[in-house]
Amino acid sequence: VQASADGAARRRWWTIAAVVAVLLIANALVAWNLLATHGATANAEAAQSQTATTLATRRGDLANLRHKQAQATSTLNNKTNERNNLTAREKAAKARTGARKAAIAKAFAQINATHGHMISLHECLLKVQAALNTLGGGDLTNGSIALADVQRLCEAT
Amino acid sequence: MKRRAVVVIVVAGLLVGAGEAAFATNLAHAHQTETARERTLADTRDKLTDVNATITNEQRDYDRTLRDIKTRTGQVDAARTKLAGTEGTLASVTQNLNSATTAENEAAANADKLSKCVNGAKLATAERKNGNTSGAIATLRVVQPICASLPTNGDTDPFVFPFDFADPSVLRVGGTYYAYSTNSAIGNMPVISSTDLHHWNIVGDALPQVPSWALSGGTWAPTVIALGGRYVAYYTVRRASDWDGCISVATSGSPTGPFVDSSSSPLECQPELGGSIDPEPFVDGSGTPWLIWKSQGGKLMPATIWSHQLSADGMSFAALTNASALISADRGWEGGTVEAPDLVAVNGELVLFYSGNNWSSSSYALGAAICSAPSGPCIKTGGPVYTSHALIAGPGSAGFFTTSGGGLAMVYDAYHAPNVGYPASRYLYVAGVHVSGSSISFG
Repeated sequence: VQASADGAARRRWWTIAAVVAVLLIANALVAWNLLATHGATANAEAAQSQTATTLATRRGDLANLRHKQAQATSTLNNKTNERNNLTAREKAAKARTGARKAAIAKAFAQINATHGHMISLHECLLKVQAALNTLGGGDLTNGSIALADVQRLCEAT
Repeated sequence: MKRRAVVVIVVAGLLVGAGEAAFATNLAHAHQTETARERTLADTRDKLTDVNATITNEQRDYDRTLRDIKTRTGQVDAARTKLAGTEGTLASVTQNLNSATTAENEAAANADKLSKCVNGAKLATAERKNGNTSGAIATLRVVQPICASLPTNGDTDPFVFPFDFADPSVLRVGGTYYAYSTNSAIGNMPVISSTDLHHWNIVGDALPQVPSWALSGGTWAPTVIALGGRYVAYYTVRRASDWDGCISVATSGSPTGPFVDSSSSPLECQPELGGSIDPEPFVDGSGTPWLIWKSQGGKLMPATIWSHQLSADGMSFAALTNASALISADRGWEGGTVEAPDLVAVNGELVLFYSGNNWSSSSYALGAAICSAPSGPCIKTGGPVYTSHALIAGPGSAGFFTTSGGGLAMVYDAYHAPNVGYPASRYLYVAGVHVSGSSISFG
């Protein structure tokens, strides 16, 4: 009976030892898993921090780019307006030039016409003076004929 | 003993159980935290990816905008250059238009003046034809400034009076010049006046009546001098009995007349020599008056210039004196004619100026001779000293006088080329005269 009791006690201790060993192994595994999880979390936080910094920088870059784009767009609009304004002014100046060239041509045509008229008038004046000289010299006959010719020839003037 | 072991085992089991439960909770929490961190990281990376994509797109837009700006800047520069060119052209065209408009207005104004000049001359001619000499003179007086203001069209030596004014002479009284000419529409002895020798005004007819022995309408080449407190005019007039050209004399208290000729016969006529014309008085250094004139020339002798001393009052030739022939037409350029003499004392020389050749042609010109005394002898200087040039055709019939500035000058007549020959007008010209020894120049 004593031996049987000793054997039973020994088996109980082995059972307890086995349970304790199993618990130790299981806890070691859990501890390892916990450490691994903490490491992964730490890595994720570090990556998150770096990525967030990069994101912030890039957002700054984007804001800066948008500011420059706004300025460039404004510049482009100004340039476009300036070009359109210059083009319009050039077109208007060209139109005025054309109108003035036409006016010059008209003035020269009028001058030519006037000069032509003046040549006729001058010819007439010479004839009138010749008639006047003839009459002034006492030659009434030829002077009267000359005056009649003058009246006829110079009628148009 | 057994009970105590069981209790120990139970207590140990409870403790181990509690520890394991806490351990498990901790592990679960760690897993949750790690999962959350991973999700956040993934989210942040997504955002970063979006931002990068946006930056890439917007950078492309920005680059395109910069290229557009560069293109637009080029367009602005080109437009500015084009505008500058067009505005330069516009300025030039505007200047041309202003010039053309000015020229147009000037041409219109000149045409208007010329038209008024023509109409005035027409009216004067008609009045003259109808015997209304005073009306013709009044009309010419009104229209003369208009005619005189007409442009000379590049004529650098223009005439100074716009109507016929042949065989001119000048008398200066103080600062006023009086010019006289052969008969014209203005009358027997037209007289005009000026204070600057360039702008002249019609005064009228200084000799309204010719003497009873003479014909009107043929009074030529008058010259007036101040002598004995009055003005004495010598002129050519046709004698009614034979139409010969003769010289007569008239007097007036005014240089503008009216001059009165109360003679009953000519002062000189020389019918055997074709008549006497172109009288020109000359007062020598001692105050003695002389008369210089031309005989027309005929079978007995060629055209000749004569000199004869006058009485102190200038109304007749001095007693016991004779006429002297100074020069005759003997040079080729003279074409058989010497006439319109004028004796001038200048720089110790006595210079006889005369005209040669046909007065109704452009060959008419001025010659000169140096005389020892008013009665001669005279030696011609050579060829003509003043001939046709530019638009001045056939200059001659010169009258010499001293200006108010003390210089020697002459008036002469000439046709205005190309209108040469009677009945075209012989216009009045003025020129300075410079004599140095036998060297004579004009201008």
